[in-house]
Amino acid sequence: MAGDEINNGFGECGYFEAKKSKLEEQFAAASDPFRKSNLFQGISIFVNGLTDPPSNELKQIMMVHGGTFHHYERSHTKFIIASNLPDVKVRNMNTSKIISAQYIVDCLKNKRVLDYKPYLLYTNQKTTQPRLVFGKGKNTSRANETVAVSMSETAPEPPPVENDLGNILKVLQLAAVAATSPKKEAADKTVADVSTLSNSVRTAVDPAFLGEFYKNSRLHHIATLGAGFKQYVCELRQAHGAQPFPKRNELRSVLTGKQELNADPAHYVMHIDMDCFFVSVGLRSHPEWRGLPIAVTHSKGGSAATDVPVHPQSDRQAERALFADRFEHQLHDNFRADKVRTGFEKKMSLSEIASCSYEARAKGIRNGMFVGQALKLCPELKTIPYDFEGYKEVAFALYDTVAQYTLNIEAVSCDEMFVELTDLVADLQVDVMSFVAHLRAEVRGRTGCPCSAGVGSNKLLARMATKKAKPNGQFLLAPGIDVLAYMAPTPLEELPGVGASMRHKLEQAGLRNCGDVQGTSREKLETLLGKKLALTLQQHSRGIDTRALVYEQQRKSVSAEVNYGIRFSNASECETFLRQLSAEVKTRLTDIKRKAKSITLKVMVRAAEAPIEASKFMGHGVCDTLNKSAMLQHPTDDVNVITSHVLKLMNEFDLPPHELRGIGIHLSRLSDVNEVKKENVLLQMFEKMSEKRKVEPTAVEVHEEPQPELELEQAEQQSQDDLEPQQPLDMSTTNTSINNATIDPEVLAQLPEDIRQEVLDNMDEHLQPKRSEPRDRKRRKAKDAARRSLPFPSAPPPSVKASAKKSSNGAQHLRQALRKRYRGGGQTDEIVMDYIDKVSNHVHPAIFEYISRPEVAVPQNLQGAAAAPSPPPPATLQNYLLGSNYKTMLADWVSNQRYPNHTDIITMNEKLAELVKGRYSSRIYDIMKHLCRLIKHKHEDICEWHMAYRLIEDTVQHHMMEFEGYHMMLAERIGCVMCEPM
Amino acid sequence: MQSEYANDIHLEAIEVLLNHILYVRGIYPAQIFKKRRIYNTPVYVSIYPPLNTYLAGVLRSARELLGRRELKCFEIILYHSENQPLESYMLQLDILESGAARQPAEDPHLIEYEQQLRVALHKLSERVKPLPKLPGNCQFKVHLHTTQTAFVQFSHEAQYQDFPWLQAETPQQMDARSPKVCLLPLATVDNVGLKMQARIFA
Repeated sequence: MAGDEINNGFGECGYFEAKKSKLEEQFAAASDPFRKSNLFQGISIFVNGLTDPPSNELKQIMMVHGGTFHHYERSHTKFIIASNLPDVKVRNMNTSKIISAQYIVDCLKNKRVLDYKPYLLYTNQKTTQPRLVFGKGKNTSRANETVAVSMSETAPEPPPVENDLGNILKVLQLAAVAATSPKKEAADKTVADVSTLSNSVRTAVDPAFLGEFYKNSRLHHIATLGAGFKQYVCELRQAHGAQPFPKRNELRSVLTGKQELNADPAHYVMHIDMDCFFVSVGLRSHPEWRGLPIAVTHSKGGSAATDVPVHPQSDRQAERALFADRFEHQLHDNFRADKVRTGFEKKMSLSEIASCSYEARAKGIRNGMFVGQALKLCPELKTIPYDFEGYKEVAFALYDTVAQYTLNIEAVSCDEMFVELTDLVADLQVDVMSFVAHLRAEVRGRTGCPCSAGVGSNKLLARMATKKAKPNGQFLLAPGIDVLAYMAPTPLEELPGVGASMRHKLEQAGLRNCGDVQGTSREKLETLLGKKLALTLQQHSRGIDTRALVYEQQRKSVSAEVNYGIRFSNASECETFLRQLSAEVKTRLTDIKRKAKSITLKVMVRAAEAPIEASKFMGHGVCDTLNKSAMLQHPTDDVNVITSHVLKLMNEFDLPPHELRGIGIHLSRLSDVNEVKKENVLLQMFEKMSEKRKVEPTAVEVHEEPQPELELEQAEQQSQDDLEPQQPLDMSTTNTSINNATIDPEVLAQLPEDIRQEVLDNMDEHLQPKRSEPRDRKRRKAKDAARRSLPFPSAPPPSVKASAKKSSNGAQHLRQALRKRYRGGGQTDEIVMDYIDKVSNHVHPAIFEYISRPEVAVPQNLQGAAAAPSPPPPATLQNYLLGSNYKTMLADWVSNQRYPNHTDIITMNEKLAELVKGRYSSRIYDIMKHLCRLIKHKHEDICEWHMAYRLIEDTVQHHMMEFEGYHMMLAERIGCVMCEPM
Repeated sequence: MQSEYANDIHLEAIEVLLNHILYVRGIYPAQIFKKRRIYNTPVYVSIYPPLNTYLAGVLRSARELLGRRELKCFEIILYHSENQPLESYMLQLDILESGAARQPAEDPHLIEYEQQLRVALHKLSERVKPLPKLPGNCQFKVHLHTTQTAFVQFSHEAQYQDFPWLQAETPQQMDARSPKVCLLPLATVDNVGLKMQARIFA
């Protein structure tokens, strides 16, 4: 076929392609004379089926406005125009470029290339769900940058569809610039729109969504910064230890003598807080805007904020009513209700203001207000984008400045902290406020941002003082002041722990400010709030705060939550997202080196009465929040465990995926990852057992001369270090230092099998001085000969020293026996004899016993097999699974480890394989049953153990099949629903 | 322990185990078994005359083979339909043949021996418990594993003519290694050189 086409005169592509190209050329030629604008330059369309306006009309539009009309769908066709397509075609085509004809008409009407998304005919989302602009504020804010930049931002992870999009964009941009070049202003706007386009289409279905979300989420940044500083303070404190603070001396010289020493050692807590943090950081780069009303928000502000594209499907009015209703009646939050009432006006931006300057506050703008609403209040409001790097930088500068003087810091958030000043003031002998002034000046100097500080005798009063100090001031709630009177006018919601619902409750009871509470009896408060809350509230209203400063704060929970852009169409998308989110939360958990015991899944479901699409782009709208949690038996930081629990919880919810609007995973009940990684518990256990069996360890010394050549041995050992980096070196160094010619049994036990064998083999070389080369060589030869008949244990020798455990009498006897054996074998050699005499010093007692027992007892396979490279170790000797207390051992193993150790499993397998070979099937049955029950009992929910058991079982069955021809009937099953195929 | 006594003692063990298996696997209704004290432990023994006669015949033959040291294995097969065994209990006596059993001198009053048999009986009931319940109307048969010569000789003995033995049709198939068959180790009685295993046919 292909070959035919090459020769048919139409070039490589064949007739049809040639025809298509020609049609295109004809179209281009035909349209030239009519050209009026280049509006659609680079845009090619293909009309499929009946449309309104009809195909011909569209063709003419394209001709006149510089677009291309394809008579056939081609790979580079930008858009397919259709009004309705049969299912088959939809399935065959990339639906991301099928749009309705209205698009062309609207573009023409607006004289610019619009965002085509609202015109998409088929999306992989429900038609009622708009594809909306992600990270709009960020992009529009730098509308001056080229589109190329914003595209490269999304470039790393775009799915193929987005590649298309990129191309479209390039074209769109060109078109837009060309079309509107006369009017600079308009061009700016178009470019902004185009860049908006480039960052759109991110729902949670997109694999890159999560990363993008966290990159842009302001709450995430603020929260992680805050948590980070809690950690930072801990680290600083640990690193600092008990060293003095050099800066204090400096300060002393500056400040001393100015003030009289305060006689009574009052308790000072300082609360220091940056003034409208985000704004002042943002203003560092724009000093000319100081004094203007400024707000930090994602929204670009200006006309864009009052005229945002609104999806036709979303019903703002309905949603507004719902939100307001909820806030008012369920949460009793009038402020938010009002905000929603006034903020949901048609087409106003629903971006929230994160922070606004004092000038803006004077106009009635508050933090958290919708931008649209704020602009109504103050049309000249200047909005600036977030600058997360700047926040970080300033915050670190703030913390570092304070940390120069004291580390008694309780971090509250990135720009706010409590500092205990009592000891500092006592140390410096200065007036507390002059220190605070000095500190504030220093912060101002380092960060360029103003901050306010309040000092009081406790945290509450310090915070109250800060309120008074703001902006850019300081205030001391001196001990002499009438605290009651000071607190009285404070509204209750300013007290810590009083939220909207509590305020509502108190308001119902006629309590509005601290003064009201001061005058209320405890009993009345208790009936309202309960005993504990009543007590704290009363104390707080009187300026009493018993909470101490917490310097080294431990994270109590870790969570990851996304409630933006959650639009799933099926369960598998939801599952994929949950997996990603689990991985995210796991990363955060491991970052703080903790393990969690409780997993909570929080989902937000669209409230039944809420419109399907939220007013805020991709926002969650009005939702019901549901929580479900699972307790783990053991703390974990294993992503698989977390994921499986999360998925299970999600299944339990049994919610339709398309109704989900927000998902969060919270890990709580954290504990430290403090347990030491045990190398091999089972091995240690074996070791302990054999230690117990030792009758009387009478340490026999290996007769020892000074060791001149030990260096050489070390060098030799170094080569082994490649295999086992640490232990052999340890061993040789201990040998040098103590000059004790034994190998640390524990070290030996840790070694891998082959190295251990080698070490044991060459032990006398390592430990004995070499007398002369030839002799040494001979010895080695002899040793090799001996080694061939020495079966080595697969279990570690419990102790090399223990080799001397036999009474000297017995050892003598054994030596003789050995000697006899070798003589009988024709290997009579003095050196061998020599070696045999010493062998008891180096060999595992059990082996020694074994090799020196009477000839008859040696199993058949060993007798004739001096040449066999490694005779299988006899099972009876060291297999502790045959001992009577194998059950305790198994129990130790299973209960001491949270997760099975790989090496243990391998050891277990080896031991069991030996048992199979030794035909101890009855004991194997017992062991397996016991092990299974243990695991079921102790690790009901840890699938690693279940897997380990199954692995062991498989090995046993494999060996059984090999040796017996049958599997073993193991009736006991783990029966875990999580990991076992039913 | 003289050889003929030894045989009788072993035979008794086999008899007890045989009865016990029939009871625990529910081949016959529990009513035909009566609790007796053997080896100082309760054991259910058949009191159903036809069954007893049959068992007696089987055991008499086994005794003969035991005496000639020609009995390798005493196999009890439970089946529902012929040639489709469900379970087979094998009392292997090969260790007996090699003479590895303990010398009688070590256990002159058979105390150890009795202990071990008791353990074996209990283990048997315990390990058989998790097995799937047999379908109703199950039957059992006994295979004696022996040599060809022993079989020929045996079938010519006049005194055993009234209880004839047939050569099992497909001994190969029974021994064939098969992943479908599971082995359930039951008990080992070192003193007797008896090893008991069950093969469970999936």
